[in-house]
Amino acid sequence: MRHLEQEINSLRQDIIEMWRMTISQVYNAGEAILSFDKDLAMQVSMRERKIDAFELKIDSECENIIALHQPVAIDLRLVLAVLKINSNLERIADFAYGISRILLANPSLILDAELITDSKLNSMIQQVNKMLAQGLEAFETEKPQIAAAIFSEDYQVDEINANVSRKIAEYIKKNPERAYECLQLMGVFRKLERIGDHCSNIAEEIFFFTDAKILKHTDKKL
Amino acid sequence: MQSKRISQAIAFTLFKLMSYAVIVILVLILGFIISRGIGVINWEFLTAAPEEGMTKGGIFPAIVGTFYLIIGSSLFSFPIGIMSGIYMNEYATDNKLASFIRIMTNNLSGVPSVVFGLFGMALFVNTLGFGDSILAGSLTLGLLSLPLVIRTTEESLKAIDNSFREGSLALGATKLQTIQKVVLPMAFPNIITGLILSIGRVSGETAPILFTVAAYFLPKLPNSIFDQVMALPYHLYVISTSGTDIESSRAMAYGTAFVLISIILIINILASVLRNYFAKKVKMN
Amino acid sequence: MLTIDAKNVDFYYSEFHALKNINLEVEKNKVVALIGPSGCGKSTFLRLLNRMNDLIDGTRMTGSVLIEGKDIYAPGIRVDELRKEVGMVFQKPNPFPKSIFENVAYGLRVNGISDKNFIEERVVQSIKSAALWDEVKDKLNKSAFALSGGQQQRLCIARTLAISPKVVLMDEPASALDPISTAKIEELIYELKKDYTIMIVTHNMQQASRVSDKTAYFYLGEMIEYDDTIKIFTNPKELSTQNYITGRFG
Repeated sequence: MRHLEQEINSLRQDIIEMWRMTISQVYNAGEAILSFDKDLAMQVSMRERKIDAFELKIDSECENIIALHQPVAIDLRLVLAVLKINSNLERIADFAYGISRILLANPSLILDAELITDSKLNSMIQQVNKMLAQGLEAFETEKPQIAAAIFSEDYQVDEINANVSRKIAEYIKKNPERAYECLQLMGVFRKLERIGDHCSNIAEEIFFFTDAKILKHTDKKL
Repeated sequence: MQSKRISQAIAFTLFKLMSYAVIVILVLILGFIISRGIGVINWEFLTAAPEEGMTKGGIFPAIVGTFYLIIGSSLFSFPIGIMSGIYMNEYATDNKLASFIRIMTNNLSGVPSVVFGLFGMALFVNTLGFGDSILAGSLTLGLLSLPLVIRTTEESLKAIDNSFREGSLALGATKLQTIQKVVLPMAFPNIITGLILSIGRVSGETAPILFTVAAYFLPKLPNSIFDQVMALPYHLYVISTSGTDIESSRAMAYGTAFVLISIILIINILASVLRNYFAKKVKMN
Repeated sequence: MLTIDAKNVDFYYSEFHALKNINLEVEKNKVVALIGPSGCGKSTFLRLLNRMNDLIDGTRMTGSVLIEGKDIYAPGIRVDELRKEVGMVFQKPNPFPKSIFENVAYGLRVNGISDKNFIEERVVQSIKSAALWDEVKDKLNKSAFALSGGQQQRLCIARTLAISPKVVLMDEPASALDPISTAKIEELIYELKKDYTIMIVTHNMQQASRVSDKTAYFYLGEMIEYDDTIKIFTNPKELSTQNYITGRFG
């Protein structure tokens, strides 16, 4: 096998590894918040540094490939896509960490089960997990049609998020003494919504890599 | 490892010895001729005609005759040889005529010189009626050196990298301009060497002039190209085999050989001097 | 009007079908790079444009090549006139064994120009255009062989520019040069684009991507893809092109 191909394969393995770690961070953070599992939140928090380190490793791999092999065409597109996917994953992992911090910083935080059901936190978390997994599958199989689904998933996430403010505001009106918890919950939603956005970005990069289509800042209807 | 080094050393020593042997042989021949011949060399020997059955006097008519033959044969063989060499290498690289000419010239250069002499006698002396004359001898010698001239011209032209021709043609030059202004100037040093070496060959030949021009004894200079002349190689042959008094003309024979060798040596030196001169000129001008 | 317009060009070396139905159009003042593995026909195609292939026996060509609208294979076309319009720079620098000045003046002289002032003016201007002036202005009468390989190649470019061609063909012009000389030649190509239309054959993919506006990929005598260079090097249409430029070829 050619030298460049080896380098690219190992880059591909590393970004997939990064992706899996990020997926598990987001999943654990979601589980932790839904079940008030502080141990799990602690675990997420501990792994954050490992992900940061991995991001740097992938960045420098990309830099080396560009400097030493001057890739063109599909090789170049893969390296550029990985570079961007990498920083999107890192941001996603940051949000997972942020969610776990909310739990850890407020040891007495108790969220009202009714509010959680009503605000659809559970389905938001599921949606985000699904998008992340779809991204990875699209990348691994190089099937952009899988990535295409992410755009509509993100649309649903945005919709849930749009309704959340109103629902929480109503709840605060009824339970003004729980305003603080509610604001914390808003934070969680906000982070999940951002994770969705980053998943969309990743889907765009997958399109760029496989089809060289530039979807950024355009209407994503295919 | 050890045996590799030993065979290496043996081979080198052998090669070295053999090349020394060549030098030794050459020096022996030259030394022999010079030591025997130098004694008779004086102004009279070089400028006077032979006297008393070629046992006294000089070899002036033979020297002059040799020069005439050199010039005559060059006038004949150089233009024809150079032009056909150019034709074969530049114009007709791959056609049947050229390869036929090439085969013929190769065969021609293998023909013994005495056969040339016989042919020259039949064609020039008898059929064309030139008689024994400088003209007939020059033409015969010219024929003899023609293959050499053609070959050297062709080889010299072949040695010029094609990229120079392409470079010239790509600038809108015609083929003739390319040959004139680029190819020939570059090939000139090598061609000139070939030409001068062919002169050396011509000046030393005996057989072709035997039946076409050479006079056994003719103590006067020629008046026209239809006259006979003496020539050094033939003179040498005569006085060492069939003179009136072989023993007493022995010294004369070595003297003649010495002059002949000197002429050829001078020609060769001239060749390399000219070659270097033109090689430098081609680069610098 | 297109500067180069090759239509349905087929070319044979005796029995060997070296170019298969090539159609290629080049606009004025563009640089086109021809890439492809050895023996793919790119050099053959280049040499069709100034009829250098005429020099090889047993070749045959069908189709037509128009240079500025004129069919260069039409009967009655004088090849030496054509080559004034379509200059060529070769792989190996091949200056003549003459002075620097005479090398550049050569093309003018063989084309019958004898006006001394005109020749001098044109020689100086051509050497300047070839970005060589500063290096040789004090030794115009010295032998061209005294120059370095890179300088010789720029001299050959100057020599070509002197006869004011419309098109300059370059057959791997930097393949025998060191990186710095190569960079100078590439820089020069970029400058020359303003006044000339250039077609360059190169084995160096980075060179093709750096200097050219359009790139044509040849493989086994066919032109597989011809497109904007940026397109070829980021997202070629054909898998064969991609395999070649990414080095997955063969």
